[in-house]
Amino acid sequence: MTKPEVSDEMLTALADGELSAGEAERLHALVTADPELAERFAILAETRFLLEAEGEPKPEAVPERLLAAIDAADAPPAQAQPRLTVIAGGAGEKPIAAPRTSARRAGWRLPLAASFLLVAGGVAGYLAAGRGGQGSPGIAVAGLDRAALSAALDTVASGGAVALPAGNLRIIASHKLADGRLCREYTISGAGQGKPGWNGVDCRDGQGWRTEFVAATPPESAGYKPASGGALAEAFLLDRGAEGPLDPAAEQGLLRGAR
Amino acid sequence: MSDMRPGQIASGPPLPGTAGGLSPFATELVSLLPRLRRYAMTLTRSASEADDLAQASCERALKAQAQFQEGTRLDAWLFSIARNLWIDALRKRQREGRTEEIDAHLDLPGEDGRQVNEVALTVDSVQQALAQMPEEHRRLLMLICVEGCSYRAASEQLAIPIGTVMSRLSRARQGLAARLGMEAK
Repeated sequence: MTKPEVSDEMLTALADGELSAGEAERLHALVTADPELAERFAILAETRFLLEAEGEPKPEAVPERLLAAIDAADAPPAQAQPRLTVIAGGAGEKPIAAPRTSARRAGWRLPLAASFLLVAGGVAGYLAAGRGGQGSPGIAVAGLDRAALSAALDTVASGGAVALPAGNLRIIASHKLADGRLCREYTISGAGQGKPGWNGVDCRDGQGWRTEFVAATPPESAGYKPASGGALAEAFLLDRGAEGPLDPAAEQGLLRGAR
Repeated sequence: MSDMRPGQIASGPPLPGTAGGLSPFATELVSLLPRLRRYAMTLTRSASEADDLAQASCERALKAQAQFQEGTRLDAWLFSIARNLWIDALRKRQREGRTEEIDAHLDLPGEDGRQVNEVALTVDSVQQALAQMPEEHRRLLMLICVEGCSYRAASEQLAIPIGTVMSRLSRARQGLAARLGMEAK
Protein backbone atom coordinates (compact mmCIF):
# COMPACT_ATOMS: atom_id res chain seq x y z
CA MET A 1 0.00 0.00 0.00
CA THR A 2 1.44 3.32 -0.92
CA LYS A 3 1.66 6.07 1.65
CA PRO A 4 -0.65 9.00 1.03
CA GLU A 5 1.37 11.91 -0.26
CA VAL A 6 1.48 14.91 2.01
CA SER A 7 1.71 18.14 0.06
CA ASP A 8 4.10 20.99 0.74
CA GLU A 9 1.01 23.16 1.14
CA MET A 10 -0.23 21.11 4.05
CA LEU A 11 3.20 21.04 5.65
CA THR A 12 3.54 24.80 5.25
CA ALA A 13 0.10 25.36 6.71
CA LEU A 14 1.02 23.14 9.64
CA ALA A 15 4.24 25.12 10.16
CA ASP A 16 2.33 28.40 10.02
CA GLY A 17 -0.33 27.33 12.52
CA GLU A 18 -3.05 27.57 9.91
CA LEU A 19 -4.62 24.14 10.41
CA SER A 20 -7.38 23.41 12.87
CA ALA A 21 -6.30 21.72 16.09
CA GLY A 22 -7.57 18.34 14.93
CA GLU A 23 -6.02 18.56 11.48
CA ALA A 24 -2.76 19.72 12.98
CA GLU A 25 -2.59 16.84 15.44
CA ARG A 26 -3.31 14.28 12.76
CA LEU A 27 -0.80 15.69 10.32
CA HIS A 28 1.84 16.10 13.01
CA ALA A 29 1.43 12.45 13.96
CA LEU A 30 2.10 11.48 10.35
CA VAL A 31 5.09 13.77 10.24
CA THR A 32 6.75 12.43 13.36
CA ALA A 33 6.27 8.86 12.19
CA ASP A 34 8.15 9.51 8.95
CA PRO A 35 11.59 11.11 9.21
CA GLU A 36 11.70 12.08 5.53
CA LEU A 37 8.39 13.84 5.84
CA ALA A 38 9.60 15.38 9.07
CA GLU A 39 12.62 16.83 7.35
CA ARG A 40 10.51 18.38 4.57
CA PHE A 41 8.31 19.87 7.26
CA ALA A 42 11.21 21.16 9.30
CA ILE A 43 12.80 22.86 6.30
CA LEU A 44 9.56 24.60 5.36
CA ALA A 45 9.15 25.77 8.96
CA GLU A 46 12.76 26.85 9.14
CA THR A 47 12.41 29.21 6.18
CA ARG A 48 9.74 31.06 8.10
CA PHE A 49 11.96 31.51 11.11
CA LEU A 50 14.88 32.63 8.96
CA LEU A 51 12.68 35.24 7.33
CA GLU A 52 11.56 36.53 10.71
CA ALA A 53 15.01 38.02 11.18
CA GLU A 54 14.17 40.48 8.40
CA GLY A 55 11.62 42.11 10.66
CA GLU A 56 11.88 44.12 13.83
CA PRO A 57 13.02 42.30 16.93
CA LYS A 58 10.87 42.39 19.99
CA PRO A 59 11.64 41.21 23.50
CA GLU A 60 10.25 37.82 24.51
CA ALA A 61 10.42 35.99 27.80
CA VAL A 62 12.51 32.85 28.12
CA PRO A 63 12.65 30.42 31.02
CA GLU A 64 15.64 30.65 33.30
CA ARG A 65 16.31 26.96 32.88
CA LEU A 66 17.54 27.53 29.33
CA LEU A 67 19.71 30.46 30.37
CA ALA A 68 21.21 28.37 33.14
CA ALA A 69 21.91 25.54 30.71
CA ILE A 70 23.70 27.84 28.29
CA ASP A 71 25.69 29.36 31.11
CA ALA A 72 26.67 25.91 32.36
CA ALA A 73 27.74 24.75 28.91
CA ASP A 74 29.65 27.93 28.23
CA ALA A 75 33.02 27.22 29.79
CA PRO A 76 34.88 30.41 30.68
CA PRO A 77 38.36 30.88 29.20
CA ALA A 78 40.03 30.09 32.52
CA GLN A 79 38.66 26.57 32.45
CA ALA A 80 39.33 25.77 28.81
CA GLN A 81 41.41 22.63 28.72
CA PRO A 82 44.44 22.69 26.48
CA ARG A 83 44.55 19.80 24.05
CA LEU A 84 47.35 17.48 24.85
CA THR A 85 49.06 15.32 22.32
CA VAL A 86 51.03 12.59 24.00
CA ILE A 87 53.78 10.99 21.99
CA ALA A 88 54.26 7.54 23.37
CA GLY A 89 57.57 5.77 23.45
CA GLY A 90 61.06 7.13 23.37
CA ALA A 91 62.89 8.45 26.40
CA GLY A 92 59.68 9.57 27.94
CA GLU A 93 56.24 10.64 27.00
CA LYS A 94 56.20 14.21 25.94
CA PRO A 95 52.96 16.07 26.24
CA ILE A 96 52.49 18.89 23.78
CA ALA A 97 49.95 21.41 24.87
CA ALA A 98 48.04 23.00 22.02
CA PRO A 99 45.70 25.38 23.75
CA ARG A 100 42.65 26.46 21.84
CA THR A 101 42.71 30.19 21.78
CA SER A 102 39.58 31.23 20.03
CA ALA A 103 39.27 34.90 19.32
CA ARG A 104 35.69 34.62 20.39
CA ARG A 105 36.52 33.28 23.79
CA ALA A 106 39.08 35.97 24.42
CA GLY A 107 36.35 38.56 24.17
CA TRP A 108 34.47 40.35 26.86
CA ARG A 109 32.09 38.93 29.37
CA LEU A 110 29.16 40.88 30.66
CA PRO A 111 27.95 39.48 33.92
CA LEU A 112 24.62 37.72 34.14
CA ALA A 113 21.96 39.47 36.09
CA ALA A 114 20.26 37.95 39.09
CA SER A 115 17.48 36.84 36.78
CA PHE A 116 16.61 37.17 33.13
CA LEU A 117 13.09 38.08 32.32
CA LEU A 118 13.27 39.22 28.77
CA VAL A 119 15.53 38.36 25.91
CA ALA A 120 15.79 40.43 22.78
CA GLY A 121 14.14 38.36 20.08
CA GLY A 122 16.10 37.10 17.18
CA VAL A 123 19.07 39.38 16.87
CA ALA A 124 22.34 39.84 18.60
CA GLY A 125 22.12 41.26 22.05
CA TYR A 126 20.53 40.31 25.27
CA LEU A 127 19.05 42.19 28.06
CA ALA A 128 18.77 41.46 31.69
CA ALA A 129 16.19 42.71 34.09
CA GLY A 130 16.25 42.25 37.81
CA ARG A 131 13.14 41.14 39.57
CA GLY A 132 12.57 44.81 40.13
CA GLY A 133 10.43 46.65 42.55
CA GLN A 134 11.26 48.53 45.71
CA GLY A 135 14.13 47.15 47.70
CA SER A 136 15.25 44.64 45.12
CA PRO A 137 19.01 44.16 44.88
CA GLY A 138 19.14 45.09 41.21
CA ILE A 139 21.77 43.99 38.75
CA ALA A 140 25.41 44.09 39.69
CA VAL A 141 27.50 44.94 36.68
CA ALA A 142 30.99 43.81 37.48
CA GLY A 143 33.75 46.30 36.93
CA LEU A 144 31.36 49.21 37.10
CA ASP A 145 32.09 51.77 39.77
CA ARG A 146 28.71 51.91 41.45
CA ALA A 147 29.51 55.05 43.41
CA ALA A 148 30.70 56.94 40.35
CA LEU A 149 27.62 55.98 38.35
CA SER A 150 25.29 56.91 41.19
CA ALA A 151 26.98 60.27 41.65
CA ALA A 152 26.62 61.03 37.97
CA LEU A 153 22.98 59.95 37.94
CA ASP A 154 22.28 62.25 40.89
CA THR A 155 23.62 65.32 39.22
CA VAL A 156 24.04 65.20 35.45
CA ALA A 157 21.11 66.41 33.37
CA SER A 158 19.86 64.24 30.53
CA GLY A 159 21.84 64.74 27.38
CA GLY A 160 25.00 65.14 29.41
CA ALA A 161 28.02 62.86 29.45
CA VAL A 162 30.62 61.88 32.02
CA ALA A 163 33.75 59.78 31.72
CA LEU A 164 33.66 56.81 34.06
CA PRO A 165 36.34 54.16 34.57
CA ALA A 166 34.05 51.68 32.77
CA GLY A 167 33.62 53.98 29.80
CA ASN A 168 31.77 57.05 28.72
CA LEU A 169 28.43 57.52 30.41
CA ARG A 170 25.82 59.36 28.43
CA ILE A 171 22.50 59.99 30.13
CA ILE A 172 19.57 59.81 27.77
CA ALA A 173 16.42 60.56 29.72
CA SER A 174 14.68 60.42 33.08
CA HIS A 175 11.40 58.67 33.71
CA LYS A 176 9.03 58.31 36.59
CA LEU A 177 7.68 54.83 37.19
CA ALA A 178 4.17 53.90 38.23
CA ASP A 179 5.55 53.14 41.70
CA GLY A 180 6.90 56.67 41.95
CA ARG A 181 10.58 55.90 41.57
CA LEU A 182 12.82 58.00 39.40
CA CYS A 183 14.64 56.05 36.70
CA ARG A 184 17.29 57.21 34.30
CA GLU A 185 18.21 55.73 30.95
CA TYR A 186 21.83 55.85 29.89
CA THR A 187 24.46 54.29 27.72
CA ILE A 188 27.95 53.31 28.71
CA SER A 189 30.26 52.97 25.77
CA GLY A 190 33.62 51.33 26.15
CA ALA A 191 36.52 53.67 25.81
CA GLY A 192 38.53 52.65 22.79
CA GLN A 193 38.05 50.67 19.63
CA GLY A 194 35.69 47.79 19.60
CA LYS A 195 34.95 47.88 23.28
CA PRO A 196 31.35 46.94 23.77
CA GLY A 197 28.97 49.05 25.71
CA TRP A 198 25.49 48.76 26.97
CA ASN A 199 22.22 50.54 27.59
CA GLY A 200 21.17 50.70 31.20
CA VAL A 201 18.30 51.88 33.31
CA ASP A 202 18.93 52.70 36.95
CA CYS A 203 16.17 53.49 39.41
CA ARG A 204 16.48 55.36 42.66
CA ASP A 205 14.77 54.49 45.91
CA GLY A 206 15.51 55.08 49.57
CA GLN A 207 18.74 53.10 49.32
CA GLY A 208 20.01 54.93 46.29
CA TRP A 209 20.46 53.95 42.66
CA ARG A 210 20.14 50.39 41.47
CA THR A 211 20.62 48.99 37.99
CA GLU A 212 17.32 47.49 36.97
CA PHE A 213 17.95 46.89 33.31
CA VAL A 214 20.89 46.21 31.06
CA ALA A 215 20.92 45.65 27.33
CA ALA A 216 24.23 44.59 25.92
CA THR A 217 25.23 44.28 22.33
CA PRO A 218 27.96 41.70 21.76
CA PRO A 219 30.87 42.51 19.52
CA GLU A 220 29.81 43.03 15.94
CA SER A 221 28.75 39.82 14.30
CA ALA A 222 27.57 39.25 10.79
CA GLY A 223 24.03 38.86 9.73
CA TYR A 224 22.18 40.78 12.37
CA LYS A 225 20.38 44.00 12.62
CA PRO A 226 21.37 44.87 16.17
CA ALA A 227 18.45 45.21 18.53
CA SER A 228 18.40 48.80 19.61
CA GLY A 229 19.29 48.84 23.29
CA GLY A 230 17.36 52.05 23.55
CA ALA A 231 14.22 50.47 22.13
CA LEU A 232 14.51 47.62 24.61
CA ALA A 233 15.07 50.05 27.47
CA GLU A 234 11.91 51.87 26.40
CA ALA A 235 9.98 48.62 26.39
CA PHE A 236 11.25 47.85 29.88
CA LEU A 237 10.26 51.28 31.15
CA LEU A 238 6.82 51.15 29.56
CA ASP A 239 6.29 47.81 31.18
CA ARG A 240 7.03 49.42 34.55
CA GLY A 241 4.51 52.16 33.97
CA ALA A 242 6.75 55.00 32.84
CA GLU A 243 4.85 57.55 30.82
CA GLY A 244 7.61 59.08 28.78
CA PRO A 245 10.76 61.12 29.34
CA LEU A 246 10.55 63.91 31.89
CA ASP A 247 11.12 67.45 30.72
CA PRO A 248 14.24 69.18 32.03
CA ALA A 249 12.41 71.14 34.74
CA ALA A 250 10.63 68.08 36.12
CA GLU A 251 13.88 66.15 35.94
CA GLN A 252 15.80 68.76 37.86
CA GLY A 253 13.08 68.92 40.48
CA LEU A 254 13.22 65.18 41.07
CA LEU A 255 17.01 65.00 41.02
CA ARG A 256 17.25 67.68 43.63
CA GLY A 257 14.43 66.17 45.67
CA ALA A 258 14.71 63.92 48.69
CA ARG A 259 17.19 61.12 48.15
CA MET B 1 46.11 38.62 24.76
CA SER B 2 49.01 36.98 26.60
CA ASP B 3 48.78 39.46 29.43
CA MET B 4 45.19 38.56 30.18
CA ARG B 5 44.37 37.02 33.47
CA PRO B 6 41.64 34.36 33.59
CA GLY B 7 38.24 35.93 33.63
CA GLN B 8 39.51 39.33 32.59
CA ILE B 9 37.47 41.22 30.08
CA ALA B 10 39.70 41.76 27.08
CA SER B 11 38.48 45.22 26.41
CA GLY B 12 37.17 46.49 29.69
CA PRO B 13 37.85 46.63 33.40
CA PRO B 14 38.78 43.36 35.12
CA LEU B 15 36.05 41.21 36.62
CA PRO B 16 36.36 40.72 40.34
CA GLY B 17 36.88 37.07 41.18
CA THR B 18 35.11 34.69 38.89
CA ALA B 19 31.81 36.54 38.79
CA GLY B 20 30.08 34.70 35.93
CA GLY B 21 29.29 36.07 32.55
CA LEU B 22 28.66 34.74 29.11
CA SER B 23 31.06 34.57 26.21
CA PRO B 24 30.00 36.52 23.10
CA PHE B 25 29.03 33.28 21.39
CA ALA B 26 26.84 32.18 24.28
CA THR B 27 25.35 35.66 24.47
CA GLU B 28 24.29 35.39 20.86
CA LEU B 29 22.74 32.01 21.58
CA VAL B 30 20.76 33.57 24.41
CA SER B 31 19.52 36.27 22.08
CA LEU B 32 18.33 33.58 19.67
CA LEU B 33 16.45 31.62 22.31
CA PRO B 34 13.02 33.12 21.65
CA ARG B 35 13.06 32.24 17.97
CA LEU B 36 14.70 28.90 18.63
CA ARG B 37 12.01 28.00 21.15
CA ARG B 38 9.24 28.93 18.75
CA TYR B 39 10.89 26.90 16.00
CA ALA B 40 11.23 23.97 18.41
CA MET B 41 7.59 24.37 19.40
CA THR B 42 6.56 24.28 15.74
CA LEU B 43 8.47 21.03 15.29
CA THR B 44 7.49 19.23 18.47
CA ARG B 45 4.11 20.73 19.38
CA SER B 46 4.97 20.18 23.03
CA ALA B 47 6.27 22.90 25.34
CA SER B 48 8.48 20.56 27.34
CA GLU B 49 9.89 18.77 24.30
CA ALA B 50 10.46 22.14 22.67
CA ASP B 51 12.52 23.38 25.57
CA ASP B 52 14.43 20.09 25.67
CA LEU B 53 15.20 20.53 21.99
CA ALA B 54 16.18 24.16 22.45
CA GLN B 55 18.48 23.27 25.31
CA ALA B 56 20.08 20.38 23.47
CA SER B 57 20.59 22.58 20.42
CA CYS B 58 22.35 25.27 22.42
CA GLU B 59 24.51 22.72 24.21
CA ARG B 60 25.42 21.14 20.89
CA ALA B 61 26.16 24.56 19.40
CA LEU B 62 28.50 25.37 22.26
CA LYS B 63 30.18 22.00 21.97
CA ALA B 64 30.61 22.37 18.21
CA GLN B 65 31.48 26.03 18.32
CA ALA B 66 34.74 25.52 16.49
CA GLN B 67 32.77 24.38 13.47
CA PHE B 68 30.75 27.56 13.26
CA GLN B 69 32.07 29.73 10.47
CA GLU B 70 32.54 33.20 11.81
CA GLY B 71 30.78 35.75 9.62
CA THR B 72 27.89 33.44 8.82
CA ARG B 73 24.49 33.54 10.40
CA LEU B 74 24.38 31.92 13.78
CA ASP B 75 20.60 31.64 13.70
CA ALA B 76 20.65 29.55 10.52
CA TRP B 77 23.36 27.31 11.98
CA LEU B 78 21.49 26.90 15.24
CA PHE B 79 18.18 26.09 13.52
CA SER B 80 19.84 23.44 11.38
CA ILE B 81 21.38 21.93 14.51
CA ALA B 82 17.91 21.81 16.06
CA ARG B 83 16.46 20.27 12.90
CA ASN B 84 19.13 17.57 12.81
CA LEU B 85 18.72 16.73 16.48
CA TRP B 86 14.97 16.45 16.05
CA ILE B 87 15.17 14.29 12.92
CA ASP B 88 17.81 12.06 14.53
CA ALA B 89 15.55 11.56 17.52
CA LEU B 90 12.66 10.65 15.23
CA ARG B 91 14.82 8.20 13.28
CA LYS B 92 15.97 6.60 16.49
CA ARG B 93 12.42 6.40 17.71
CA GLN B 94 11.40 4.74 14.48
CA ARG B 95 14.22 2.20 14.67
CA GLU B 96 13.84 1.38 18.30
CA GLY B 97 10.13 1.77 18.59
CA ARG B 98 10.21 4.04 21.62
CA THR B 99 10.39 7.72 22.32
CA GLU B 100 13.97 8.84 22.70
CA GLU B 101 14.88 11.91 24.61
CA ILE B 102 16.58 14.44 22.45
CA ASP B 103 20.18 14.17 23.39
CA ALA B 104 22.82 16.78 22.83
CA HIS B 105 25.44 14.09 23.17
CA LEU B 106 24.60 12.31 19.97
CA ASP B 107 27.64 12.04 17.76
CA LEU B 108 29.00 15.28 16.50
CA PRO B 109 29.16 15.57 12.72
CA GLY B 110 31.85 13.37 11.30
CA GLU B 111 32.26 11.25 14.40
CA ASP B 112 30.35 8.43 12.84
CA GLY B 113 31.22 9.24 9.28
CA ARG B 114 27.86 10.82 8.51
CA GLN B 115 27.80 14.12 6.71
CA VAL B 116 25.45 16.36 8.55
CA ASN B 117 24.03 19.18 6.53
CA GLU B 118 24.42 22.24 8.66
CA VAL B 119 23.62 25.50 7.04
CA ALA B 120 26.16 28.29 6.63
CA LEU B 121 24.40 31.41 5.45
CA THR B 122 26.03 34.75 4.97
CA VAL B 123 24.59 38.09 5.98
CA ASP B 124 23.11 38.63 2.54
CA SER B 125 21.95 35.11 1.73
CA VAL B 126 18.29 35.65 2.51
CA GLN B 127 18.13 39.10 0.93
CA GLN B 128 19.82 37.83 -2.21
CA ALA B 129 17.55 34.82 -2.41
CA LEU B 130 14.51 37.05 -2.04
CA ALA B 131 15.79 39.38 -4.75
CA GLN B 132 16.01 36.45 -7.15
CA MET B 133 12.44 35.35 -6.59
CA PRO B 134 9.36 36.40 -8.48
CA GLU B 135 7.83 39.56 -7.02
CA GLU B 136 4.60 37.83 -6.00
CA HIS B 137 6.53 35.18 -4.08
CA ARG B 138 8.61 37.79 -2.32
CA ARG B 139 5.56 39.83 -1.43
CA LEU B 140 3.74 36.87 0.03
CA LEU B 141 6.75 35.75 2.05
CA MET B 142 7.12 39.22 3.55
CA LEU B 143 3.43 39.49 4.30
CA ILE B 144 3.08 36.12 5.98
CA CYS B 145 6.48 35.38 7.45
CA VAL B 146 7.80 38.82 8.31
CA GLU B 147 4.65 40.79 8.97
CA GLY B 148 2.88 37.79 10.49
CA CYS B 149 -0.28 37.99 8.41
CA SER B 150 -2.69 35.06 8.53
CA TYR B 151 -3.50 33.24 5.30
CA ARG B 152 -6.99 34.70 5.39
CA ALA B 153 -5.76 38.25 5.91
CA ALA B 154 -3.21 37.83 3.11
CA SER B 155 -5.89 36.45 0.81
CA GLU B 156 -8.06 39.49 1.46
CA GLN B 157 -5.22 41.96 1.17
CA LEU B 158 -3.97 40.53 -2.11
CA ALA B 159 -7.46 39.72 -3.37
CA ILE B 160 -6.59 36.14 -4.20
CA PRO B 161 -8.24 32.90 -3.02
CA ILE B 162 -6.80 31.21 0.07
CA GLY B 163 -5.94 28.18 -2.04
CA THR B 164 -3.72 30.40 -4.16
CA VAL B 165 -2.11 31.84 -1.06
CA MET B 166 -1.28 28.35 0.12
CA SER B 167 0.11 27.04 -3.15
CA ARG B 168 2.06 30.18 -3.92
CA LEU B 169 3.43 30.38 -0.39
CA SER B 170 4.60 26.79 -0.24
CA ARG B 171 6.29 27.17 -3.62
CA ALA B 172 7.95 30.36 -2.38
CA ARG B 173 9.15 28.69 0.80
CA GLN B 174 10.43 25.71 -1.13
CA GLY B 175 12.13 28.06 -3.56
CA LEU B 176 13.79 29.93 -0.73
CA ALA B 177 14.98 26.71 0.86
CA ALA B 178 16.47 25.58 -2.42
CA ARG B 179 18.24 28.90 -2.99
CA LEU B 180 19.65 28.78 0.52
CA GLY B 181 20.97 25.28 -0.02
CA MET B 182 18.74 23.75 2.61
CA GLU B 183 17.88 20.28 1.46
CA ALA B 184 16.89 17.01 2.99
CA LYS B 185 19.75 14.65 3.74
